[in-house]
Amino acid sequence: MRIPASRATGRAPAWLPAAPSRWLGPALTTVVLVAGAAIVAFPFLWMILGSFKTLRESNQFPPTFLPVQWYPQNYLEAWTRPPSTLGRYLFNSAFTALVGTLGQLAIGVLAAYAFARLRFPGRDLLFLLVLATTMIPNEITLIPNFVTIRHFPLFGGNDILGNGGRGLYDTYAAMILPGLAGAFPIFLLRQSFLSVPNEYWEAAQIDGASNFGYLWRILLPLTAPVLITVALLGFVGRWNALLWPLLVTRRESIRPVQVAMTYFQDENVTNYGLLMAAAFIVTVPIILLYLVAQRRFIEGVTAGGLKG
Amino acid sequence: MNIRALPRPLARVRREARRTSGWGGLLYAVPALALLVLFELWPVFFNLWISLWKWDVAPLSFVGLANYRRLFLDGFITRDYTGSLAVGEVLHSLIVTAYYVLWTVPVTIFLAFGLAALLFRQVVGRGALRTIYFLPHITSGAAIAVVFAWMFSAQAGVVNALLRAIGLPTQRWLEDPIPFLKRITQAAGLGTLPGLPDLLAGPSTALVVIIIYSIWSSLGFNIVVYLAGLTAIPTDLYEAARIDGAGRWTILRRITWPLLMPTTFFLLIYNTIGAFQAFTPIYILTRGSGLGRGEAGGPIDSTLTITVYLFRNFYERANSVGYAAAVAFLLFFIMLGLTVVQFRVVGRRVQYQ
Repeated sequence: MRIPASRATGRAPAWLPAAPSRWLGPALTTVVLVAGAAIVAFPFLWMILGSFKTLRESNQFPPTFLPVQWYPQNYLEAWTRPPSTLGRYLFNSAFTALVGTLGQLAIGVLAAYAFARLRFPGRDLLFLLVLATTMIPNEITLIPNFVTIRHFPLFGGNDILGNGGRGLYDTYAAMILPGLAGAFPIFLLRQSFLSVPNEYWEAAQIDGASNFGYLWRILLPLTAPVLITVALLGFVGRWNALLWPLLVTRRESIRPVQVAMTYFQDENVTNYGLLMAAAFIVTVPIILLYLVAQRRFIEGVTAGGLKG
Repeated sequence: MNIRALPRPLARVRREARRTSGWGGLLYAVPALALLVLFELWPVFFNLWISLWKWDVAPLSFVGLANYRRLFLDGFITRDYTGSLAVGEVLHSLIVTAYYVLWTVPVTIFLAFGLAALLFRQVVGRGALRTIYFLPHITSGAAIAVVFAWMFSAQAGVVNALLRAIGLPTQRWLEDPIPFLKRITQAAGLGTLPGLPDLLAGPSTALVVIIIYSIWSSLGFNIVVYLAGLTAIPTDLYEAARIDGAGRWTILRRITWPLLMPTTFFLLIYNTIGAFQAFTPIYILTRGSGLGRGEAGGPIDSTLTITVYLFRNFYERANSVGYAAAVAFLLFFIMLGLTVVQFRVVGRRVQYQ
């Protein structure tokens, strides 16, 4: 038999209107939170609505809210309009982000394993060195790395001393290489490897597993959530990057999509409808990724936050 | 598990342990270490070397400390075309950076704290609300910055339409180098305060748009970090306070805020360093306006932060790569100094449980 909630808790019966002090607070909280969320979400809404507006409608003042004349052709035009096609830029972004992320993961996993599980001379000192690199801001590595890429020996017509050609400048490798080893992923992966109980290691040793076998067959499956978090944060960071790819590339056929976004503005009258369609195409992969794997993203952020 | 109970494999475990304790383990770390040394550590020294040269695509001539002399002397106080003393480029961009950081960081932290405290109590739709607040952090590339370029457009912007709808004067936003404060006094009928130099009157109207964008895009990250901090506060503290008759506001001010000091402290450093490095929004939003059309930092250098100044000298000016490297060092030491100062000043007032 169900006991009425009012009798069980000793509160006023449900048919009596609750005192304002009881519902006013939560109601106000909800109003403030929803209003805030509406403001935060507005640019996304404005982008989607705008992507269906014609050149003339997107430039008129005051602007219309819903498109008067729905113009989905913007998406077709955005796809073919820039110096190279948007599809090409999207491929470049996906390729550099994917290769960069997978490379970072492979290199990071090996290093984290070494620092968490293996013993070798100078291990702790070297790990401190890795952590110290998080204190070095990107600004100070920007110019030297550009010079290093340009004078990379034996590539792009360079001799063994790195002179004579353009090195790795204007290649996919130039975009990928400098960010390939991150200290933070190594730190995060090492933490998760250390959290795996020692018994697994001992059992694997008894079964005769090699170092690599233990890492591949036991450690990685056990720490898969952290691997996914690191991969997602790495991918999104690379997808959104603008400064470095802008500096080290010139050919349109290899530039990423964020750089291409800057071309839409270099006109006298900006076709905002077209621009919004392009912006939406570029943003939607990230939004989908986020909606699918939201928990992993949030965990990545809190892991970073608790570090401090 | 008791290893001693397993006599035969024990020897093998020992052998394995010995095998992993040699130089072999280092091999696993070599790829990461090599890349970190080449692209993170070595550049610090290489940057110092470059800053001693006049350098374009390649080194031109060794100039010793000339770049630093230009940075610290002409950069701070210089003479304008009439021969009178004027604010130098570096000091100018440091002041612009200060306005940007001092508005973006505190506003973001306070908003995030308030919203996180509310969100923590919210029962209905909490997950969905968190999803929305966090979305800008994930999508913070050039693609979403162009949406702001349209929203704050002087001719076709929705923000101006809203201002007009509620009876306020419309603004030129990204095209306006005049401080926003002067625009407010102007609208209030007090004039544009001609006696007050623009550089002392706060961020330019264009920089205000960048500040709004930055708050919008980093709010969600701060909220999520605060939410993690809130979960860590034991509930019996709230219970005890409530029994003592403390109201919601008192609890927020006397318990939640002090206990979250370590979180706030972390966010302060994290956001400040992030704000110093901001590039994408300024590059996307300011290239199309003002006299230096095509160059980021406009109109009339009113959004020229120190990072954009570094980029300008490196990428857009001839023969000044060495000088840009000197600017990079200045930026590096400012950021290091800020971290130390924040540790000392705020660290003393941080309360750990």
